[in-house]
Amino acid sequence: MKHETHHLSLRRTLPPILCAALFSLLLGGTVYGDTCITCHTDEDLLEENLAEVKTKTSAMQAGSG
Amino acid sequence: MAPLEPQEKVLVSEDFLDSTHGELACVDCHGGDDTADDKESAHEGFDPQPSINNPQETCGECHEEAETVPQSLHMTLSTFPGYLEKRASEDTWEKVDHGRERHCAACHTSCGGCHVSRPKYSGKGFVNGHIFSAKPDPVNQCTACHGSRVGNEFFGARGQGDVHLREYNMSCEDCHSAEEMHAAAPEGLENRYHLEEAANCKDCHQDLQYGSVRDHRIHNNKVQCQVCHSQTYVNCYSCHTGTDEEGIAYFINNHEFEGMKIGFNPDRIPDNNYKYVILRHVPVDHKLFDYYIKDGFPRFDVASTWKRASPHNIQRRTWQNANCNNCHGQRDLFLDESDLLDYEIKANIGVTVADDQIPPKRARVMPLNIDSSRVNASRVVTVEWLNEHLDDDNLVILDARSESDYEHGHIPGAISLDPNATEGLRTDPYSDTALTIEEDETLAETLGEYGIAIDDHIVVYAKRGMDAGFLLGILDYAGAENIAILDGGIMAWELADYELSDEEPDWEEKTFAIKSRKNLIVDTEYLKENLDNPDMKIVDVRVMQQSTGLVGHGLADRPGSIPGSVKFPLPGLFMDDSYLKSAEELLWVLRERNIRPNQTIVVSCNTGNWAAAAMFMLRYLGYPDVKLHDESWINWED
Repeated sequence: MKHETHHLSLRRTLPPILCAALFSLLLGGTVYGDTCITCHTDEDLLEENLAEVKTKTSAMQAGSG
Repeated sequence: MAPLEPQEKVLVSEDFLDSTHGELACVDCHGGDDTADDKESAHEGFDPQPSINNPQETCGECHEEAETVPQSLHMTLSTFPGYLEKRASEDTWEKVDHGRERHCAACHTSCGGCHVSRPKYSGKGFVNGHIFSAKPDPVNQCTACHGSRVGNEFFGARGQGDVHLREYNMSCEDCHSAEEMHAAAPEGLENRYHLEEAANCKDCHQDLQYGSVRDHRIHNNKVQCQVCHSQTYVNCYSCHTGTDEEGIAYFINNHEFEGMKIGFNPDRIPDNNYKYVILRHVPVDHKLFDYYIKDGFPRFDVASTWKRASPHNIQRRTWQNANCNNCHGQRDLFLDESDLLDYEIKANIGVTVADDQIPPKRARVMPLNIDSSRVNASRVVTVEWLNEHLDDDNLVILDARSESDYEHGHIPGAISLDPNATEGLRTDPYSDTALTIEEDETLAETLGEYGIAIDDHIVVYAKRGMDAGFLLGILDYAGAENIAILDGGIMAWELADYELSDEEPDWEEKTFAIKSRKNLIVDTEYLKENLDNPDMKIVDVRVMQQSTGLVGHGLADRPGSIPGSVKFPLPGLFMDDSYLKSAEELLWVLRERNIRPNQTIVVSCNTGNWAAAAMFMLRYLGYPDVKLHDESWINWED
């Protein structure tokens, strides 16, 4: 009987635990992705936040190289 | 290759997130802090180029090829310091090497520069939203660095391009395999040809000695393939280095020219044990690093300044292989001591070909049967002729370079008329109507304002022959009869030591009594109706990045080309520096490409400018029925 109770308990508790673990993993994944990806997939945001990096080529430079 | 806006360089596409690499966390490769909520903190410890700085622990986690990348030639350029060190001494090497680091070591790359981004040297930025590609992009990656020589030659920005692209749509990696690109270069590797994995024509073209081509049987293993199969290519001279007022390092290549020289092979090795090879002048100069150390190359003569080259502009049939005597006995084609600068004569002993070493002319050869009787020779003048006729009454000299080039010095009496920047020659490209040559009234008024009358003797010169050709094409359309291009342009004038002026001449406006040759122009509708006309040939004179559809023009809706058009880039008709190849050679080359005078030849490009230059050249060569598709590709709608 005790044995059966134990099984019943696992049957009841394991799915919510697994779901919670999976959910937190997914959520975690989304969070890390968002930090970089949120900005780097938003062209307008990037345009607002990035300045033109001026070329460092000298005006004296000439020829194909 | 159009430059990218800052945001375009780092914009990740949604498709990347669904790709295999998109499954990785950004920080796995790039570091940084993916939990930070502001830009600065997020980028702390961020590595924008993990494949350069840490290839084995980033790319190498999955791709075992990354193991050898740190020793690859793309990463180390290891053969380059080798030649410099040979020329330096123990006393000078440290400073020479410092100069090399500052000026010559910028163009290296690793996995990322070939598979995901433009290389650092060419401005960086994702090629396709951070999506990785196993095959490098020939435009945005390979020739973004290898552009001035390889790219220009391969795509036809110099010469008529490469047959491997035109006929077989081959790209860089079809010859230069992953094995070659990823290979670790052994320490002390002499040059790239010594790399065991290096590309070789014979990887594909095997057993030529048993084939049906007689000349292959005769020349196999004696003459490098490119001797017979390449076109003219660029040679660089006298590179000097320095630091400008802002502290930025620079180099100046003092002289570049398009040409071809055959010489003795300075680097005979198994598999490449040819006696004769194509030689390219490399930019090294005995004063290259004088900014860092005087006389840094006490052993300058230990290596030749003319190196074995492999131009990427292969054609099956070329002018030098048109028949035996186009090569045999041709003194100008073989490197002579008279081609050398004073300080490099010793360095090139062993590669120059003395008169008695040139393969002798053959007694009997196949005739070329070139009919040059229709060539309108008056349409080309030499600098010697122009110098003698500067004071002729009805002579008008037009400088087709940019205004700033004109202001730096021009032929005395020349009027500045840059066809690429002058209003009133062609319609506004941004208007709603098609871009074409202007209406008669406007065109006549513009030409008159520049002091041109229809019966003047008009000589046009430029730095690039095609700019002069573009203006001459418009003048030809406008009805001017007595027009000519200056062979060699401003470079030939300067080399002849003729006077240059910085004074703008006084000229009076004239009436240009226009007699426009409407029959020279065809529109898009005409072309569409005649696509199947066997008597008409459409010649697409754009560079082959565009005519093969790899890249679109900024004003065009899409990349592509007119169905059935022949790809013949304009630089096949004009050399880099405004010199013209002989009429016989051009006629032969055009015939080889099946562009024949017994057909209606329609020239087309993106906007009509290059096509106008091509029209001028074809009419100079005596083609009787040439048409300009003035509307060109940007007006071609499906």
